[in-house]
Amino acid sequence: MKRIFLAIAIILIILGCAGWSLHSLYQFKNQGLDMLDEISNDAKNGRLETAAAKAEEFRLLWRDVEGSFIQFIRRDPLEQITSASSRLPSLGEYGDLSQFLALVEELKTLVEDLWEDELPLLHNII
Amino acid sequence: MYVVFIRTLILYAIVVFGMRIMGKRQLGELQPSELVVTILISNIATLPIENTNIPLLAGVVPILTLMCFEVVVSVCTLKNRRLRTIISGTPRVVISKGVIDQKELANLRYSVEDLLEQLRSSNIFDLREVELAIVETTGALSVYKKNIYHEVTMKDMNLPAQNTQPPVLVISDGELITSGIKRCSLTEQQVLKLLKKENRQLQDVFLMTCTPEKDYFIVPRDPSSKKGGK
Repeated sequence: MKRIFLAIAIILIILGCAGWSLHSLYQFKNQGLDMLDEISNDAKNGRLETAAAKAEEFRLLWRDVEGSFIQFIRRDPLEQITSASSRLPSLGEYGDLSQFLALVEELKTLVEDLWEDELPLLHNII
Repeated sequence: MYVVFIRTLILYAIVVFGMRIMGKRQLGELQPSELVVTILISNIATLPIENTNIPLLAGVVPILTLMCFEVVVSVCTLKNRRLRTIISGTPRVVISKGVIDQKELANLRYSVEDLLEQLRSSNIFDLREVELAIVETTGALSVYKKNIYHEVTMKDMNLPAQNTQPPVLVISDGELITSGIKRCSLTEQQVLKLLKKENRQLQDVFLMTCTPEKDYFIVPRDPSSKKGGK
């Protein structure tokens, strides 16, 4: 009977960890999307330097959370966000506004997809 | 390469740990659900090893989940007969009173060659010897011979038989096995005394078996293996 309790305990731990991972991803999604919205608004209103500075903050935020996400998410989508977020600050400072805004939109999509792909929904399970 | 190496070791440890959780039954004949779990685990374990893009948890979590659910299902089938029937099936009689049930064989998709092969592995080469044969839920064939083909026992011959215990391992590779010594109702000192009687040291013994009647058997260590060993 000890085995059954151990098995149930392991299942509960796995479910707990899955819940925690979803929670941390949710927090990043909200924070990240808010930051990207602000970056986009600043860029559209001509405040490119502010937008570039916030882009750098976003890049640092991503660098902090990526280490924990890599434990339970495949590398490919994470690397896409890493690549895009690393280009963002420089584009904001020196690049084309249209490219900058396009990259911000791309990042928003990537962040949303990252969150939605981890949800235990039917279309993800199938 | 270090990553692959360490992942392999971790997954190996997880799979061994999981097998221990599932219990010794897993290592013997497999029920259908156990076979499924074993096959799945072997495939899942290779994924994070082959592809470092996949997180290690993507291998560990499914393996542990499968193993834990297998334990839960095993306990549930233990308590619930109906569930046991649904998951494991029921044994099927394929030979009854010496007559082959051909319909049952067809239902089981058991060919004549399969049947004879299973009988041969039970040391039965003549179908006429079989009174009853049952295909178990694991796929193995259990056979009961006709009385006239049963081996003669001491009871059949009305011979007096001494109740003897089988020999137990008491020394393995130069080390005393405490559990074996206890089963023989002996002490370590008594075992060492037996060795002394044979002019042997503990480290010179490869294996030793013994019965409570002190009927012992010693296999000395091969000198050539000692040189290359410890």
